[in-house]
Amino acid sequence: MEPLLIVEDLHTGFHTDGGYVQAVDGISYEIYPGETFAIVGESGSGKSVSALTIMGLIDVPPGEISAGRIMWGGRDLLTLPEDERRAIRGKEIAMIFQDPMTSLNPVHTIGRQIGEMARIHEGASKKEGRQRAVELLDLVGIPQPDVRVDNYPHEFSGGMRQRAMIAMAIACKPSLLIADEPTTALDVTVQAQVLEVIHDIRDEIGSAVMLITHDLGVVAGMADRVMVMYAGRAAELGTADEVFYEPRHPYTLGLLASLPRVDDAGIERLVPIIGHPPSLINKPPGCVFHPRCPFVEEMCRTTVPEMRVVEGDAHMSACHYAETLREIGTSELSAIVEELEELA
Amino acid sequence: MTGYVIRRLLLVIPVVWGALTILFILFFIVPGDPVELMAGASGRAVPEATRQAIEEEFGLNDPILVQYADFWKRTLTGDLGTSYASRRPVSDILGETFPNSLRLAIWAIFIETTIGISAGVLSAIRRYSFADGLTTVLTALAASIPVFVLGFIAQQAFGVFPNQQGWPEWARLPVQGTPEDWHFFLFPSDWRYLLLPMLVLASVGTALVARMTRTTMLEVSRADYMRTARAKGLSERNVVMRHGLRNALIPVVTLIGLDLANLIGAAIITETVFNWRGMGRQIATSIFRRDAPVVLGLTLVLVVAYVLINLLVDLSYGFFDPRVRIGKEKS
Amino acid sequence: MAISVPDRSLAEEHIGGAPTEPTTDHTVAPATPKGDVWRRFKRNRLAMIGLVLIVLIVLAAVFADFLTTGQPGKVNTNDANQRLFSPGHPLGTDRVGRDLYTDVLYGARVSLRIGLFAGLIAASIGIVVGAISAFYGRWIDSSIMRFTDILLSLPYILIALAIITVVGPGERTVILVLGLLGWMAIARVLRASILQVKETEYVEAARALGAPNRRIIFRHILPNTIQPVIVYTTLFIGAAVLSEAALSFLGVGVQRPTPAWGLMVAEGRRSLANYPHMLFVPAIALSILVTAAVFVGDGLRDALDPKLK
Repeated sequence: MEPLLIVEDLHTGFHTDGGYVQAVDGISYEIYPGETFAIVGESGSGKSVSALTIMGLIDVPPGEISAGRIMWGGRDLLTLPEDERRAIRGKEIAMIFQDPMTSLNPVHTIGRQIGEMARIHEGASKKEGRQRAVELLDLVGIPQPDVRVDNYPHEFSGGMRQRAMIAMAIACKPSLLIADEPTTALDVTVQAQVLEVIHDIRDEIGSAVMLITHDLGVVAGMADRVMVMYAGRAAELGTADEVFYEPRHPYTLGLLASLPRVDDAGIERLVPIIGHPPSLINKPPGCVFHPRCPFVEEMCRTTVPEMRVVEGDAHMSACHYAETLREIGTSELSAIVEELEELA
Repeated sequence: MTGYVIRRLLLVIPVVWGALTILFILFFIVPGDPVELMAGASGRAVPEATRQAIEEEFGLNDPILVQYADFWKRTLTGDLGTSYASRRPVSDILGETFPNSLRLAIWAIFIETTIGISAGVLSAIRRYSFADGLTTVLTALAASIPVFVLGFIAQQAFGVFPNQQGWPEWARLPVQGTPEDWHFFLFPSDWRYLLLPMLVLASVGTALVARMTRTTMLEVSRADYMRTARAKGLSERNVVMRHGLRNALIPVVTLIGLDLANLIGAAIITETVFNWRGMGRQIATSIFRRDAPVVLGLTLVLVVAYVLINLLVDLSYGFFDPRVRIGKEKS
Repeated sequence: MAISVPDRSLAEEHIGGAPTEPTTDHTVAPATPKGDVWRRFKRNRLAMIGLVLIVLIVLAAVFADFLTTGQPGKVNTNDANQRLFSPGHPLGTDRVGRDLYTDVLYGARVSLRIGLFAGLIAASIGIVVGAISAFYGRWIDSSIMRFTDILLSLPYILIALAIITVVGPGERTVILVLGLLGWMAIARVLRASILQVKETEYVEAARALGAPNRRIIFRHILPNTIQPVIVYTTLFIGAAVLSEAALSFLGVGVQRPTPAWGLMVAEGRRSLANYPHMLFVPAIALSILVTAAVFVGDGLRDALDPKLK
């Protein structure tokens, strides 16, 4: 199968008063039609920035896309003129954002904002736009869509707003839907509902979904393949099963170990990842995770590990000692971490 | 909704009452003899009999509270009293001056809205450009040059100087005076009289509107919904105009509305400089002359106008910002 | 070019700021808030220009005695109507021979005094009233706000005119009147600010920790709410200077022989056709002071609210 989207060695940074922030530092991945591809990482890992770069929503300056290619439909998006990118934006690749309250315009009705998609990309009239909006609202499960379509965003609840955002994004049946932390601002119960909507929509429209989140639980439920990012670089990439059950990067291991689990009665303490996130202006040399890695060795401090296949045919990791991690389980990890904490 | 309007209208009453009472108090502390004003001429003393007659007629001898009560009684029946200075009914004076003040204010607001908002939007779009810097400096200047200085300069440049240099009629503007003849209330037969006072009066307001528009546009451009609009594939122009402007203008509209409320009374300087027969100038003159009925009567109208316009502005707020609409159900 | 403002918030999210070695010290000392404000203010060129101008004007006013030998407001009809750059009169003289250079210097004192003291009075009353209104709430708040509305509904200049006509013109009266008529806006601004902050979570948090009311007020609420008041007062000072000019123009401001810029403009009007400098010299002085105040006020506003960059 041909990939829909190919990101190659992407580098995006920002000029700030404190220095140059390399937010995306050499990321490469592919997304295939119809799959759900999750990008996982903490705040500051660069996951949102990479999505915005794909959409072309990075302000240049102070942003700068210093290297890389983004291939879509055989063309490199980064070299396309703005009007061609705009034609793709929303129509072929659509994006929904984290906070639906602030992401919707408070002075326009929901119907108008959704209908706008049809009006821009398909030349629909106002009436047609509104009609389409009603259909879409119905599709995402909003009750009484013909009434709700004339409501303003503040008259919707959080979960409904996010559904409206989804409706807006899929209006033109995009091949790729990017969801940037779609559930972070919502209550837990509503989270599940919204994720289900995304899931159903995906099936309905046949689009691929790029799901960006820091919440591993969300990923576990929905993703086919996962990429773990840290400090702008890729740490691990593989199918959801591979990454969850056979992690091959210390950071992934740490993430998994730090999750409180209902079934894990044995471990009493949560296992944190020691240290704090690095400065993106002054990144640590060598492996960017090495200051926090419980397994750090000399090579890690000096040489940047390449992203390479470490298992099967597509399970990749950027760790010099990925193979050794095969043996480590979470209980062992917690022991190691405890030791290190006592030393510190 | 109607309940809200009624409540607000009822609030007008204490405000007007309070304002007029304060004024009334001011005037009764005033030393200064209205009798002098009315009957005294060229410094001759007023004959006792005349004095008595006048005091009787105007109730000047009665205790203050009685005069106060009388004032309200009169006013509530529509009788605004008689000017001490000119013996004309205050309502006549009102009829001559109020329309002129209103006209000037409306035109000034028109300028503020069109030029002010456009300048602000342009300035925000071309941020940090030369045009933006120029606008910043110009608006700061317009807000800080005293209005009367601006007025004088305008008079000099467009009226006196051309006159002195013997320029042709069409290249000159009259420096003083109020047109008598108006069409549809707002359009004078001789527009040249209107031009300078209108621009000068609008100067400060335009500067403020331009600055505020620029600020709100910049604030709005950082908003998440702007990013969403771009993500939808809208052209930058549409993003700004259709999504940004509507939001950015909300506070600006309030500002303009409040300015209108103020402008009718605050135009005194411009009216004086250009000899425009408006309420501000009339009240100022009457204050100097201790002509209490005129001051009280005209100010009453000003206060009522101010409060009503404020109420309208508040109500219109709901039109512009759906989040504050009264009476709409939330889900 | 897009209107989009540099997406700093996104970039700022990415600056971890922590050292690269894991340490037990988790706090990276941020720049002190005050230092931050000053730094941002410094970067605003117009604001710095404004500040410099104000400092210069203040210095000129303070050291007026050393900068000129003339007597302020001294009439000397022999010397009337001197143009700019005349010998002995660098800025010329007015209709009755008063040296403009000297009068402008001493006039600076008047304008500054009026602006500062009116501002002080307005701010003091405004802060007290606004704070009381916001803290005590309920009917105290309603009545105070109602009273403020009443005062605000009266046309500002006309009331000033009325009061001064009653009491008699002069510098003290002008200061009092301007201050007494200006506190309302400050009170409102402070009240709105306090009401916003009162309900925020960090105040709730402080209460939950058991902090006494006074401490909450001084350490949490006040520092955050005083900012708009500072900005507004600065702008008010500029406005007060202009108001004095307007009052002098109408004849009820500062009186001669004290030179005041507004007064000088009014006097200069008569000779505008033949000797425009008589009007323009004080007018320019006024404009410079007020413009500087506006720039500084704007700069303060931008520096105190980082989101507005």
